[in-house]
Amino acid sequence: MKKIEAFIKPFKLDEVKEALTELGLVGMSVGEYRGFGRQRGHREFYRGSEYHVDFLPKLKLELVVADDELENAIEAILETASTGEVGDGKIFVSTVEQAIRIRTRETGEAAL
Amino acid sequence: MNFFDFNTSDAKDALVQAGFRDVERALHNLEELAGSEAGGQLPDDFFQALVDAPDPDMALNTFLRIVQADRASFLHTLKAHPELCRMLLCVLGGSPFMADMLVRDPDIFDWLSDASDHSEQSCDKEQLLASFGGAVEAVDTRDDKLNAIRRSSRRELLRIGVGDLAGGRAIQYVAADLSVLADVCLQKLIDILLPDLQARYGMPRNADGQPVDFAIFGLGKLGGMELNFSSDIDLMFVYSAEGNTDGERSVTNQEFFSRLCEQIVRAATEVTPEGFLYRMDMRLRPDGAAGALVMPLAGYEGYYMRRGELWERQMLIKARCCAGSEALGQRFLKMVQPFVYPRYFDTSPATEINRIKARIEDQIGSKGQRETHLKLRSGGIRDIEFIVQCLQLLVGRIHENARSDNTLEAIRQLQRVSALSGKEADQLRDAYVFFRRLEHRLQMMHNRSDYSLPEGEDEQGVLARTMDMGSAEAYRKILDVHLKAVQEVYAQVFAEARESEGRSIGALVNMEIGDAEASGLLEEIGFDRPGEAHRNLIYLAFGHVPRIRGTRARESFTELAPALMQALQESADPDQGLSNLESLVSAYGAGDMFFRILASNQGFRQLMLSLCVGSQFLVQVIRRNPGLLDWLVRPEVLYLDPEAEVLHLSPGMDALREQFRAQVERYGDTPELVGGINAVKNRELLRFGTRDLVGLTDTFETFEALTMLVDAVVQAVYEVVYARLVEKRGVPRNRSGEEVGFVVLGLGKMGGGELSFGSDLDIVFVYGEDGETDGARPQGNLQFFIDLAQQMIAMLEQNTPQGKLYPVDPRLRPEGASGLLTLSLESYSRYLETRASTWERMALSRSRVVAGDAVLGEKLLNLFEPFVVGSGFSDEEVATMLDIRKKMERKDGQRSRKVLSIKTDAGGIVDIEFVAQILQLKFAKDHPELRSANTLEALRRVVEGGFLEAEDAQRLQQAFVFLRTVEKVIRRQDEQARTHLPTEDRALTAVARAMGFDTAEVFEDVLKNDMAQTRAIFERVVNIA
Repeated sequence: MKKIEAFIKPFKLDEVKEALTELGLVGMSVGEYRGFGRQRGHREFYRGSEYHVDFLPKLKLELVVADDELENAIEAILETASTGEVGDGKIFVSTVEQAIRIRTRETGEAAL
Repeated sequence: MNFFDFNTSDAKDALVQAGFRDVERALHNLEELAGSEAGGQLPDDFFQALVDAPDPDMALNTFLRIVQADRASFLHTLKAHPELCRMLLCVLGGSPFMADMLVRDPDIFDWLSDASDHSEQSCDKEQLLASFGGAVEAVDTRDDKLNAIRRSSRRELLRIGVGDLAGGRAIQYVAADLSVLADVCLQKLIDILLPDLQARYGMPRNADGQPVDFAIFGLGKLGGMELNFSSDIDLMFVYSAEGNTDGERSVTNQEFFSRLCEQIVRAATEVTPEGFLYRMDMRLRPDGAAGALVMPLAGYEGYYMRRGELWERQMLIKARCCAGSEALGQRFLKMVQPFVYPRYFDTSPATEINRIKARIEDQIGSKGQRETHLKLRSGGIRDIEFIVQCLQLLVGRIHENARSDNTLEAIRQLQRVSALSGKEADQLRDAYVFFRRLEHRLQMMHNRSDYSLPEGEDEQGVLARTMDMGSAEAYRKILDVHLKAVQEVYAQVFAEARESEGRSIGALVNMEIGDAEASGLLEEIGFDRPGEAHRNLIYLAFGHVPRIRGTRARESFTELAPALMQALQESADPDQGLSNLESLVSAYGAGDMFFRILASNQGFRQLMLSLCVGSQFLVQVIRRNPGLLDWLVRPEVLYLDPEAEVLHLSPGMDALREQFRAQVERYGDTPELVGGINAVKNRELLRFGTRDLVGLTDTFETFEALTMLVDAVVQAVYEVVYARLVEKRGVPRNRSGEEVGFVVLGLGKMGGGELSFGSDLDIVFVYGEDGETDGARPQGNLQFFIDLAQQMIAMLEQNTPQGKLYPVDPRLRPEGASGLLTLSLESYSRYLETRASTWERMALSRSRVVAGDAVLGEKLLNLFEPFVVGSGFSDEEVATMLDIRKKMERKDGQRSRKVLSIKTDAGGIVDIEFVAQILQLKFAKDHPELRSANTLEALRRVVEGGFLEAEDAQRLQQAFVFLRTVEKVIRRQDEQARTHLPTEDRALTAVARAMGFDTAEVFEDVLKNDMAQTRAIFERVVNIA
């Protein structure tokens, strides 16, 4: 099993979710995040103030998928989350050792 | 017994003197009493004690009723304890409800005489529990046990009442006694009812099998140990964890405790022959009357953290575990502390409390109780509680001692941490004690939660006596002093809230749309459409259904609200600013984080507001592609090269063209290509528009950038369409086989490099010479280039979801709309020689090659130049030109005199352009250096050449910058090619403010003055010419 953590632009959520749902992946959690970049030194700018924001908010989408679903899931996210602009986000994949459904005590992929 | 001779008129006078109201009846009563068995047994000071009673009439009446109802034992007790007589009359004259108790159950008096020595001590809870326990143990059935509690409670109540009325105990001890009594009753109810339920369903247990605890919380006065006689008691019930009971008939813990609570409430509130215990109010629980009567600890936690309101924080300040598991009580209180005393508030508590108070005053006002409602009236008990709770909420997070549930203790602690001054604390404390005593007295007179201050002289007199004040007048005076003192402190504490309206925005979002108070506030801030503004605020705070934002987003928004409101208030158009901001946030998503960034980053906030207030169309550009926002805030986008010393005006033509070429490469010559080009164009438009909006570039720098963008788009379109046609028809060639060039010529503002937002493109197409293409199916050059021009226009004007690229106006070509769309250099030359008119000299004076063959372009401009310069500007030509100018004016003038066109009206932009052109056309023959397609540059040159007074030139230049900036501000809003001042007040004011004027009037005055001056110069120049 793999855990996918995808940082995406917030307004892409619906599309990404829809694409994942079409793959049968419905269980996911979403949270708002704000990245923090390198702090920039103070500099005088031409004609007044600096309109500088390190990062605009991102959403983190988290889901755990079976190994054979991973590739499709990633493809779906790449396909839908891309705007072609800077700041489209990143995807992290990690291995999940175990999953257990509390109610039924099913384990492994059966618990997903 | 013989007080006096009942038959003299002196007797009546004495009774009147003594304060009796119904003298006839009093006389009658006294006669009866004297003639009764009791007559001889009364103590000597009976009459004096009677006179001293708060209400002698009532005391006498009731005393007689008791005597008549019996009672050997009563008289016996009285005789044995003569000192009790005074106390008894005091009670009988002070509280009809207690008197009633005594009438019904005179045995209590015996008990009271035994217990009377307790009245100076505080009530001990353990002892009371034990004594109640004894009474309960003595009987068997559940009903008997409950009755035992009711009886015990009544006696205890009486004992406390006697201590209060006759013993002069301080009010806080009386209130504490009453609260302990309630605690004990509730505990005993649990003790009686719980075992029955356990026997039936088993022990409630959690998931680990551990027994589950139950606790009752007293809120309000009970929580603060401040109970009155006959107060309602406010309660909440809690159990420690979900689970099931372990009996044979297992039920969920929820069901188990629901039953318990229902039984407790029924047992306490039921009216029985033994009376009833308490009126209970459980509506302070989560979701009020609609919520579950009892919930597990986690249920409360979830509710308060997610949905808790300010009044619930206030309410929980006073929560006290009064019965059940002490340990669970502690856990509950610990759990709610972070909610009650949060790091920051949705709204300043002062603001919200103020709002609640205003509503309360409206309510009591509508019931005619504005003056008489002791609890709710201005300066009354509620005000004191609000002051104290508001300050507690504000300082309680840091000063834990200030978190007391008891009002007097809280006042003491608030003074200690300097939240209240010594004087304020004294005033509040004195007033509170006074009001509460008054309240007690009122309630003892009627045994109900009565907060109505008496208005009649008689009733006030009685009240005054129970309060140990001489007269009704003294009572009124003292009451007034306290009310005024509280009002003053209230005004002090809440003054801050009233001053800063911005803070109450958080409260606005909790009001219903259409709320008059909300609308009033928003109007005051400066919204023209307060209803719409209110809805937008609510959308921002809560999101659109069904995507409801969480509490965190709402809190972030409330934190942002004051700064946001202030910025909007100062902006040119608060309504549009707010509505656009709402649409941006809803398009982008992640409201919580978005609000936080807006709140913490002033630069970003300014940027967003400039966009939202200043440009509807740029907001639309972002809405269609919210990712552009990420792009926009990167420093290199607005600043291009943030490291550079000087701001670059544009990314440079090469970089711009590169972006469009990339789109061509990406899409090829497909229907999607226009959309791709448009996306880049809109992105750059957003960049240039934003730079203009926030003042990174001035008006003409913006025009320069916008013109450059147009050039890049036209070049890209030209290249695509040219390649398309060449592929189909081959390369157009002349008769010698050389490739034939093509030129896209920009005229007017496009020619002068002065394009604004939403400008039409004045374009003329010219090709080199005739011939045909070298493809398999050759085509004549004329047709080839007509196709080229047509398809270019079609592409530029193609409608896409993102709008069209640019509107094109090709009517400046030879013969105008009826001429061929393109013609050869030679034909053009012939046309200029034979048929061109004067106005075309002016039009062509501002031509510039935008795209196509540079060599041909130069040839063309060289062809134009002699025509433009000609042999000066004859009187006849000037007359023709003036005629044209008048037609332009008239055409516009016909619309409406009220609408001012800053372009064509007298003194408008055209006047200045004409001056620049006339002078060039007149003198460029001998002074070619005068020629420039750019109006400002041309003016500069004619001054340098000495053909225009420097002062006039300066005025014209200033006016030109001013007028074109006004025009830009108008067009920047919606990208429409408008040149008229808005007629609607708000829109006009918005333009005025964007131009740096406070009011539309001043702005219009300045504008009209400038135009009048311009017209004067125009006329002078024309006359010289």
